[in-house]
Amino acid sequence: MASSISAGTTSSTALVATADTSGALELKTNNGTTALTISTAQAVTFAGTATFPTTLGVGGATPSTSGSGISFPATQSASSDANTLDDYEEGTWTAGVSFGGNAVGVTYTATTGQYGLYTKIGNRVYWSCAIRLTNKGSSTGALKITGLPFTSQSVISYNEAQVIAYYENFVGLTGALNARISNASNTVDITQSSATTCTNITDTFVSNTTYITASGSYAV
Amino acid sequence: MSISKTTAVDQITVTENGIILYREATHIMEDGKELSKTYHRTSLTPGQDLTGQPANVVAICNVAWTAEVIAAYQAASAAQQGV
Repeated sequence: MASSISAGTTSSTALVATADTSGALELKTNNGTTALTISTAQAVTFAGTATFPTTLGVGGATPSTSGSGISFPATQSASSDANTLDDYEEGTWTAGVSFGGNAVGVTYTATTGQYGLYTKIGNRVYWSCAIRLTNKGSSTGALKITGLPFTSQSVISYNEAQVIAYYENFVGLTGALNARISNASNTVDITQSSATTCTNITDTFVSNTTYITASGSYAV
Repeated sequence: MSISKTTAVDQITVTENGIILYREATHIMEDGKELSKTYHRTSLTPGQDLTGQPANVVAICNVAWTAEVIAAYQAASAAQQGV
Protein backbone atom coordinates (compact mmCIF):
# COMPACT_ATOMS: atom_id res chain seq x y z
CA MET A 1 0.00 0.00 0.00
CA ALA A 2 1.35 3.43 -0.89
CA SER A 3 1.64 6.32 1.54
CA SER A 4 -1.49 8.41 1.73
CA ILE A 5 -3.27 11.20 3.53
CA SER A 6 -7.03 11.21 3.45
CA ALA A 7 -10.03 12.65 5.13
CA GLY A 8 -11.51 10.48 7.85
CA THR A 9 -14.30 8.14 6.96
CA THR A 10 -16.06 8.29 10.29
CA SER A 11 -17.28 11.19 12.38
CA SER A 12 -14.54 10.58 14.96
CA THR A 13 -11.67 10.52 12.47
CA ALA A 14 -10.68 13.85 10.98
CA LEU A 15 -7.54 12.92 9.11
CA VAL A 16 -5.80 9.66 8.36
CA ALA A 17 -2.13 9.49 7.43
CA THR A 18 -0.93 6.09 6.34
CA ALA A 19 2.66 4.99 5.79
CA ASP A 20 3.52 2.44 3.20
CA THR A 21 4.30 -1.07 4.40
CA SER A 22 8.03 -0.65 4.11
CA GLY A 23 8.56 2.40 6.29
CA ALA A 24 7.63 4.50 9.25
CA LEU A 25 5.29 7.43 9.31
CA GLU A 26 7.07 10.71 9.94
CA LEU A 27 6.00 14.25 10.69
CA LYS A 28 8.51 16.86 9.64
CA THR A 29 8.98 20.50 10.55
CA ASN A 30 9.03 23.21 7.89
CA ASN A 31 12.79 22.84 7.51
CA GLY A 32 12.48 19.15 6.76
CA THR A 33 13.59 17.85 10.13
CA THR A 34 11.72 14.81 11.44
CA ALA A 35 9.85 15.75 14.63
CA LEU A 36 7.85 12.58 15.23
CA THR A 37 8.20 9.06 13.94
CA ILE A 38 5.77 6.16 14.16
CA SER A 39 7.49 2.90 13.32
CA THR A 40 5.90 -0.09 11.69
CA ALA A 41 5.78 -1.62 15.20
CA GLN A 42 3.69 1.38 16.40
CA ALA A 43 6.54 2.79 18.50
CA VAL A 44 6.30 6.58 18.70
CA THR A 45 9.49 8.64 18.91
CA PHE A 46 9.63 12.37 19.55
CA ALA A 47 12.81 13.89 18.16
CA GLY A 48 12.66 16.86 20.51
CA THR A 49 11.07 17.59 23.83
CA ALA A 50 7.44 16.62 24.34
CA THR A 51 4.91 18.67 26.26
CA PHE A 52 1.73 17.26 27.78
CA PRO A 53 -0.31 20.17 29.17
CA THR A 54 -2.45 18.01 31.44
CA THR A 55 -1.97 14.34 32.31
CA LEU A 56 -0.33 11.36 30.65
CA GLY A 57 -1.67 7.86 31.20
CA VAL A 58 0.73 4.91 31.02
CA GLY A 59 0.09 1.19 31.01
CA GLY A 60 -3.49 1.64 29.90
CA ALA A 61 -4.34 4.04 32.75
CA THR A 62 -7.04 6.59 32.11
CA PRO A 63 -5.35 9.98 32.50
CA SER A 64 -6.63 11.88 35.52
CA THR A 65 -8.90 14.80 34.69
CA SER A 66 -7.56 16.84 37.61
CA GLY A 67 -4.21 18.59 37.76
CA SER A 68 -1.30 17.51 35.61
CA GLY A 69 1.05 14.58 35.91
CA ILE A 70 1.49 10.92 35.08
CA SER A 71 -1.37 8.51 35.73
CA PHE A 72 -0.33 4.92 36.49
CA PRO A 73 -2.64 1.90 36.35
CA ALA A 74 -4.77 1.31 39.46
CA THR A 75 -3.07 -2.09 39.75
CA GLN A 76 0.69 -2.16 39.31
CA SER A 77 2.08 -3.54 36.09
CA ALA A 78 5.44 -4.59 37.50
CA SER A 79 8.54 -4.15 35.40
CA SER A 80 11.65 -6.27 35.85
CA ASP A 81 13.78 -3.44 34.48
CA ALA A 82 15.74 -1.56 37.16
CA ASN A 83 15.39 1.77 35.36
CA THR A 84 11.62 1.70 34.93
CA LEU A 85 9.25 3.50 37.30
CA ASP A 86 6.28 1.14 37.25
CA ASP A 87 3.99 2.24 40.07
CA TYR A 88 2.71 5.24 41.99
CA GLU A 89 -0.08 5.32 44.55
CA GLU A 90 -0.99 7.47 47.52
CA GLY A 91 -3.65 7.07 50.16
CA THR A 92 -4.52 6.45 53.78
CA TRP A 93 -4.30 3.28 55.86
CA THR A 94 -5.67 1.95 59.13
CA ALA A 95 -2.92 1.84 61.75
CA GLY A 96 -3.31 -0.12 64.97
CA VAL A 97 -1.38 -1.96 67.64
CA SER A 98 -1.16 -5.55 68.79
CA PHE A 99 0.41 -7.28 71.77
CA GLY A 100 1.76 -10.74 71.05
CA GLY A 101 -0.17 -10.69 67.79
CA ASN A 102 -3.54 -9.97 69.38
CA ALA A 103 -5.51 -6.81 70.13
CA VAL A 104 -8.36 -7.92 72.38
CA GLY A 105 -10.23 -4.90 73.73
CA VAL A 106 -7.88 -2.29 72.23
CA THR A 107 -9.68 0.96 71.42
CA TYR A 108 -8.56 4.21 69.86
CA THR A 109 -9.54 7.87 69.73
CA ALA A 110 -12.31 8.24 67.18
CA THR A 111 -11.40 9.49 63.70
CA THR A 112 -7.76 10.37 64.37
CA GLY A 113 -6.65 7.52 66.63
CA GLN A 114 -5.61 5.15 63.85
CA TYR A 115 -4.55 7.54 61.11
CA GLY A 116 -1.99 6.56 58.50
CA LEU A 117 -0.73 7.99 55.23
CA TYR A 118 1.29 6.25 52.53
CA THR A 119 2.87 6.88 49.17
CA LYS A 120 4.19 4.02 47.07
CA ILE A 121 6.79 4.87 44.45
CA GLY A 122 8.04 1.91 42.47
CA ASN A 123 9.09 -0.78 44.91
CA ARG A 124 9.25 1.45 48.00
CA VAL A 125 6.48 2.47 50.39
CA TYR A 126 6.76 5.66 52.43
CA TRP A 127 4.44 5.62 55.46
CA SER A 128 3.52 7.55 58.55
CA CYS A 129 0.95 7.09 61.27
CA ALA A 130 -0.43 8.50 64.50
CA ILE A 131 -2.01 6.13 67.02
CA ARG A 132 -3.76 7.25 70.19
CA LEU A 133 -5.17 4.60 72.51
CA THR A 134 -8.20 4.97 74.72
CA ASN A 135 -7.82 1.43 76.08
CA LYS A 136 -4.89 -0.96 75.64
CA GLY A 137 -7.11 -4.00 76.11
CA SER A 138 -6.13 -7.33 77.61
CA SER A 139 -3.71 -8.89 75.11
CA THR A 140 -0.17 -9.46 76.29
CA GLY A 141 3.19 -9.69 74.61
CA ALA A 142 5.38 -7.65 72.27
CA LEU A 143 4.01 -4.39 70.91
CA LYS A 144 3.66 -4.00 67.16
CA ILE A 145 2.16 -1.35 64.92
CA THR A 146 -0.22 -3.21 62.63
CA GLY A 147 -1.91 -2.63 59.30
CA LEU A 148 0.89 -1.44 57.02
CA PRO A 149 -0.57 -0.77 53.57
CA PHE A 150 1.69 -3.24 51.75
CA THR A 151 3.62 -6.35 52.78
CA SER A 152 7.38 -5.85 52.97
CA GLN A 153 9.77 -7.68 50.65
CA SER A 154 10.49 -11.32 51.38
CA VAL A 155 14.29 -11.30 51.47
CA ILE A 156 15.22 -13.61 54.31
CA SER A 157 16.20 -12.03 57.65
CA TYR A 158 16.35 -8.49 56.37
CA ASN A 159 15.02 -5.72 58.61
CA GLU A 160 14.53 -2.10 57.69
CA ALA A 161 14.92 0.63 60.31
CA GLN A 162 11.97 2.96 60.92
CA VAL A 163 11.48 5.98 63.14
CA ILE A 164 9.36 6.55 66.24
CA ALA A 165 8.98 10.29 65.87
CA TYR A 166 7.17 11.12 69.10
CA TYR A 167 5.38 9.32 71.89
CA GLU A 168 3.47 9.98 75.10
CA ASN A 169 2.29 8.00 78.10
CA PHE A 170 4.47 4.91 78.00
CA VAL A 171 5.30 3.41 81.39
CA GLY A 172 8.73 2.49 82.77
CA LEU A 173 10.85 2.94 79.66
CA THR A 174 14.60 2.69 80.25
CA GLY A 175 15.81 3.50 76.75
CA ALA A 176 14.88 5.16 73.48
CA LEU A 177 12.26 3.54 71.29
CA ASN A 178 13.30 1.88 68.05
CA ALA A 179 11.25 0.49 65.19
CA ARG A 180 11.91 -2.02 62.43
CA ILE A 181 10.03 -3.88 59.73
CA SER A 182 10.91 -7.52 59.14
CA ASN A 183 10.72 -9.33 55.83
CA ALA A 184 7.30 -10.42 54.47
CA SER A 185 5.54 -8.42 57.16
CA ASN A 186 2.74 -5.87 57.52
CA THR A 187 3.72 -4.86 61.07
CA VAL A 188 6.35 -2.70 62.77
CA ASP A 189 8.26 -4.15 65.73
CA ILE A 190 8.86 -1.69 68.59
CA THR A 191 11.87 -2.11 70.88
CA GLN A 192 13.79 -0.02 73.37
CA SER A 193 17.53 0.46 73.49
CA SER A 194 19.84 -0.69 76.27
CA ALA A 195 23.61 -0.38 76.47
CA THR A 196 24.18 -3.54 74.47
CA THR A 197 21.00 -4.51 72.60
CA CYS A 198 17.32 -3.84 72.01
CA THR A 199 14.50 -5.46 73.93
CA ASN A 200 10.83 -5.77 73.08
CA ILE A 201 8.33 -3.23 74.26
CA THR A 202 5.53 -5.28 75.75
CA ASP A 203 2.03 -4.47 76.95
CA THR A 204 3.37 -3.65 80.42
CA PHE A 205 5.08 -0.53 79.04
CA VAL A 206 1.89 0.71 77.39
CA SER A 207 -0.89 2.64 79.12
CA ASN A 208 -4.51 3.22 78.22
CA THR A 209 -3.56 6.65 76.83
CA THR A 210 -0.38 5.83 74.95
CA TYR A 211 0.25 7.91 71.85
CA ILE A 212 2.71 7.05 69.07
CA THR A 213 3.68 8.80 65.88
CA ALA A 214 5.97 6.94 63.55
CA SER A 215 7.15 7.00 59.97
CA GLY A 216 9.56 5.34 57.62
CA SER A 217 9.90 3.51 54.37
CA TYR A 218 10.37 -0.06 53.26
CA ALA A 219 10.89 -2.11 50.14
CA VAL A 220 8.14 -4.31 48.73
CA MET B 1 -25.76 18.13 37.45
CA SER B 2 -25.44 14.92 39.42
CA ILE B 3 -22.67 14.29 41.93
CA SER B 4 -22.19 10.85 43.44
CA LYS B 5 -19.74 9.26 45.86
CA THR B 6 -19.03 5.54 45.85
CA THR B 7 -16.67 3.49 48.00
CA ALA B 8 -15.86 -0.12 47.20
CA VAL B 9 -13.15 -2.67 47.80
CA ASP B 10 -11.39 -2.74 44.44
CA GLN B 11 -8.37 -4.87 45.27
CA ILE B 12 -7.76 -7.84 47.59
CA THR B 13 -4.37 -9.49 47.80
CA VAL B 14 -3.46 -12.67 49.65
CA THR B 15 0.26 -13.01 50.26
CA GLU B 16 2.22 -16.24 50.51
CA ASN B 17 2.29 -16.18 54.32
CA GLY B 18 -1.44 -15.45 54.63
CA ILE B 19 -1.40 -11.66 55.12
CA ILE B 20 -4.44 -10.19 53.37
CA LEU B 21 -4.31 -6.66 52.03
CA TYR B 22 -7.26 -4.83 50.60
CA ARG B 23 -7.86 -1.41 49.10
CA GLU B 24 -11.01 0.67 49.23
CA ALA B 25 -11.40 3.15 46.39
CA THR B 26 -13.63 6.18 46.80
CA HIS B 27 -14.76 7.87 43.60
CA ILE B 28 -16.54 11.20 43.40
CA MET B 29 -18.29 11.56 40.05
CA GLU B 30 -20.09 14.45 38.42
CA ASP B 31 -22.34 13.52 35.51
CA GLY B 32 -20.29 10.41 34.91
CA LYS B 33 -16.97 12.23 34.96
CA GLU B 34 -14.54 11.44 37.76
CA LEU B 35 -13.74 14.43 39.94
CA SER B 36 -11.54 12.63 42.43
CA LYS B 37 -10.32 9.19 43.42
CA THR B 38 -8.84 8.31 46.82
CA TYR B 39 -7.56 5.06 48.31
CA HIS B 40 -7.58 3.60 51.80
CA ARG B 41 -5.63 0.43 52.53
CA THR B 42 -5.97 -2.12 55.30
CA SER B 43 -3.92 -5.24 55.98
CA LEU B 44 -4.86 -8.20 58.11
CA THR B 45 -2.61 -10.80 59.69
CA PRO B 46 -3.66 -14.47 59.86
CA GLY B 47 -5.93 -15.06 62.83
CA GLN B 48 -6.71 -11.37 63.36
CA ASP B 49 -10.16 -10.35 64.60
CA LEU B 50 -12.32 -9.56 61.55
CA THR B 51 -14.99 -7.49 63.28
CA GLY B 52 -16.00 -4.59 61.09
CA GLN B 53 -14.21 -5.80 57.97
CA PRO B 54 -16.03 -5.90 54.60
CA ALA B 55 -17.96 -9.11 53.97
CA ASN B 56 -16.06 -10.03 50.81
CA VAL B 57 -12.76 -9.63 52.64
CA VAL B 58 -13.98 -11.74 55.56
CA ALA B 59 -15.00 -14.47 53.14
CA ILE B 60 -11.51 -14.61 51.68
CA CYS B 61 -9.89 -14.55 55.11
CA ASN B 62 -12.01 -17.48 56.21
CA VAL B 63 -10.82 -19.50 53.24
CA ALA B 64 -7.16 -18.46 53.35
CA TRP B 65 -6.63 -18.63 57.10
CA THR B 66 -6.51 -22.32 57.78
CA ALA B 67 -5.24 -23.47 61.16
CA GLU B 68 -1.94 -24.36 59.49
CA VAL B 69 -1.56 -20.91 57.92
CA ILE B 70 -2.28 -19.17 61.22
CA ALA B 71 0.15 -21.37 63.13
CA ALA B 72 2.89 -20.90 60.54
CA TYR B 73 2.43 -17.12 60.52
CA GLN B 74 2.52 -16.88 64.30
CA ALA B 75 5.63 -19.05 64.47
CA ALA B 76 7.40 -16.97 61.83
CA SER B 77 6.36 -13.74 63.52
CA ALA B 78 7.65 -14.90 66.88
CA ALA B 79 10.94 -15.98 65.31
CA GLN B 80 11.35 -12.60 63.59
CA GLN B 81 10.74 -10.69 66.80
CA GLY B 82 13.88 -12.33 68.06
CA VAL B 83 14.49 -10.15 71.09
